[in-house]
Amino acid sequence: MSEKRKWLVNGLLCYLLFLLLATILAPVLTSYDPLSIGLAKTLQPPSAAHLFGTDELGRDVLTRLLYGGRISLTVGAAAMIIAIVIGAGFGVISGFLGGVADRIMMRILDALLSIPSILLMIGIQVFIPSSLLSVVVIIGMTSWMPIARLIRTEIMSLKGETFIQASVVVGASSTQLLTRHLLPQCLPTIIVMSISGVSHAILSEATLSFLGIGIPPHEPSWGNMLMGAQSYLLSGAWWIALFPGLLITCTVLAVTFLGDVLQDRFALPQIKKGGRK
Amino acid sequence: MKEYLLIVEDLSIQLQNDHEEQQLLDHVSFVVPTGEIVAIIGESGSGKSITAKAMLNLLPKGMAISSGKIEFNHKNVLTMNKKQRQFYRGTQVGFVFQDTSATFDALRTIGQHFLELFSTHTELSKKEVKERAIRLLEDMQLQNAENVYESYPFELSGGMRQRVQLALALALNPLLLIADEPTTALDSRIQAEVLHLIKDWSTRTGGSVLFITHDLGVVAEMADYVVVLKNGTVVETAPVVPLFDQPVHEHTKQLLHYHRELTNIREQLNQAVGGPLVTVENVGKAYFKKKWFRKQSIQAVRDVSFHIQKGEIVGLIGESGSGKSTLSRLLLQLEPYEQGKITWHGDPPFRKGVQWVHQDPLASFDPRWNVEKIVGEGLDYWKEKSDNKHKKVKEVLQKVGLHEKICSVYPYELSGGMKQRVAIARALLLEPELLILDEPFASLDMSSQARMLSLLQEINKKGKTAILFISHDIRAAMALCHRILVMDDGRIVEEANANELSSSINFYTNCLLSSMLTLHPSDRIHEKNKLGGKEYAIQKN
Repeated sequence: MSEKRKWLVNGLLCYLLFLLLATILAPVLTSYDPLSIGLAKTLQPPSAAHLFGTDELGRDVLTRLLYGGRISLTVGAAAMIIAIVIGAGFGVISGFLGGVADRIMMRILDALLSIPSILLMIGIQVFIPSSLLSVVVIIGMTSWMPIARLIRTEIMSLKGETFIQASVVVGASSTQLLTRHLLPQCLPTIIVMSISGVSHAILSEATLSFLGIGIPPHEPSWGNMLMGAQSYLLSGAWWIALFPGLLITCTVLAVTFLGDVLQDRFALPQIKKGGRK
Repeated sequence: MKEYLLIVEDLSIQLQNDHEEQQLLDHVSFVVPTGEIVAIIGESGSGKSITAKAMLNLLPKGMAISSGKIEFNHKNVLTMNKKQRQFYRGTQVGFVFQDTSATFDALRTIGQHFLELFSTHTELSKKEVKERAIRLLEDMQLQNAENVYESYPFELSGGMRQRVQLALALALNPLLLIADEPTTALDSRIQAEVLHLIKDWSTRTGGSVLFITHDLGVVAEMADYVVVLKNGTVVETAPVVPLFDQPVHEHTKQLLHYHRELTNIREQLNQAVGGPLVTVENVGKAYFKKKWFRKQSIQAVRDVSFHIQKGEIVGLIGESGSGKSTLSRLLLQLEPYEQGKITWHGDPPFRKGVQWVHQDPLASFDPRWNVEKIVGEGLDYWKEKSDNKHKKVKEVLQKVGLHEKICSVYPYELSGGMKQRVAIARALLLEPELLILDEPFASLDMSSQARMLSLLQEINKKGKTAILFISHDIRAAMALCHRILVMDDGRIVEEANANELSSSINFYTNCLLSSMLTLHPSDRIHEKNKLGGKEYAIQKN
């Protein structure tokens, strides 16, 4: 890895670590309560007392950002895990079995993919009262399909490789093939997919909350705060929208870059060493 | 006095990159006389391909000519301007390479390749180009030249592509043809035909050929003069007959020794007959291709029966597409078969008792694994203690002539011969009773082939391991095997002991036998009549 690249990676990692720590240590970092309403000091611009200003109900924006970060990051990580587990499982089974089973599973996948995910999310929300858990489950359940398809294709092409047949000849069983050759080969794809899954989930949560069907409005999340900010933007209260928006952008960017870097890390040994293939 | 078409003097080439500086060619000098065929022979890494590229001024990035002179037809190649160079490369010199898939543009038909060539260097109309091209393709003995002209490269077989490449190289009547291992990837029958075509062209038009090869058989068949290259230096230059009769340099003697070993016919029969090991009875296998509403079947193996005895080396000879690889996959139970029966008489479970060495060893290794893991993989599946494993891997590596140091090396870092050995080590670790080797010599140069040959004989003798040797190379099979099966179009057409095969009366076997390269240049059947050829060329002009 080149020097420049190293700096970039370290910077990204520092940013994400700092964000994580800040959200965990939120009660220590600020003395305000994210939920307490102070009608006396609504829409105050950034000042020494309120570094990022206050919102329409007089709540401290910085405090809400920190507490909101907990929710946004939790949703990101948890929804990604759900999506990866379902997606990778589905893809591996479908690709490994092949034949009729694969065809049926892929048609199911096509059917699910043909429904716009935002519609699916809204549809499910009608039946389940919105809460943190429901948002996580909904995002997870609606974003595993592309992962499944990718993993299935990868398993399919690996299955035909000569070294898989060579392992069969020295006596590997199906499970051994899967755990020793196929899954490790897919690991880079899975890792990269899961990283980009995190940023996707953070964005989805923001979208849902912005539409008012995500996290309950009184609880702070980055998407929620954006929604609350939209009606005050025109009246000049830019700080309510800017800071959550910036945080979402920066975090998603950082996670995506990290995914790229990790992809190189998990490349084949000959590519890593810069040798020929 | 002789006319020299190409004179190379003190040519040195260096490889320069950030880390190292390496001398690839060290003061190489040789000449190509007009109308003669000069062969450059050397092992892999001796710098022979670099020499060919330097002749065309096509050196890859990072390599630079540090000294020397290349003179073609009294002109210095290295100081030519762009236009002269284009004329030199396009019309005065033709070249063919080993890898035909890389020399064609996959998205263009053969005709478009010809059109591009002619439109750059001549002013022929489209129609004239087509006529000339078809005549050239017919000269290369391609059937249905019109069809070939309209085909895309992927629609042609390897042998056909090589002939088209040759037709393209000779299209503008060059004075010199540079051929870099043009037949190495081909079946022996097609190899013989392509060599013949090149030789014919030289005789007919008086053109010179610079032929690059690692195979002394090709040299014996083709060359007038031989340049022996070793580690970037010329160790010997001689006319072909004296080179075979009285080699001067040690390296040449060594190469000749390998050549003799590889072409020696095995006289001794299998003595350690210990009863049957595998019996194959009336086995057939078809592949199905779905085409709209009907299924199209391709019969790869038809009604094949044979047996392998314990401790025997059996050769399975056939051309590409004859079904020999399919048969080996059936024997390995990698695919089910529809008809017939394969019976296993050996001791251990079948899966462990039959092991396989694939023709492309690198593809048969998991790219994330190092040598130790690859070789030791089999033990994990057969319940061996892990502390024992390292010792066993070391032992088996030693058995195939590899140092235990390479345990931690990744296979892509190894040379072709070493990769093959790693693959054999993996197979031997399970102590199989039958070892199936698919084209084990295909990608090796002569010295590696010779060493591989003696290794296989040793394995067979020491471990009483039976070997099924699958190859298109009938001569290698005769050198290694006790018994030989000849396969054509999915059938076994002949079965004979190695020393009896040469007196076969089977038509197909005889075809294969007659395509074998000559052992010694003085045995050439098609010795060309130089004078006649030159006169013909003059008359033509």
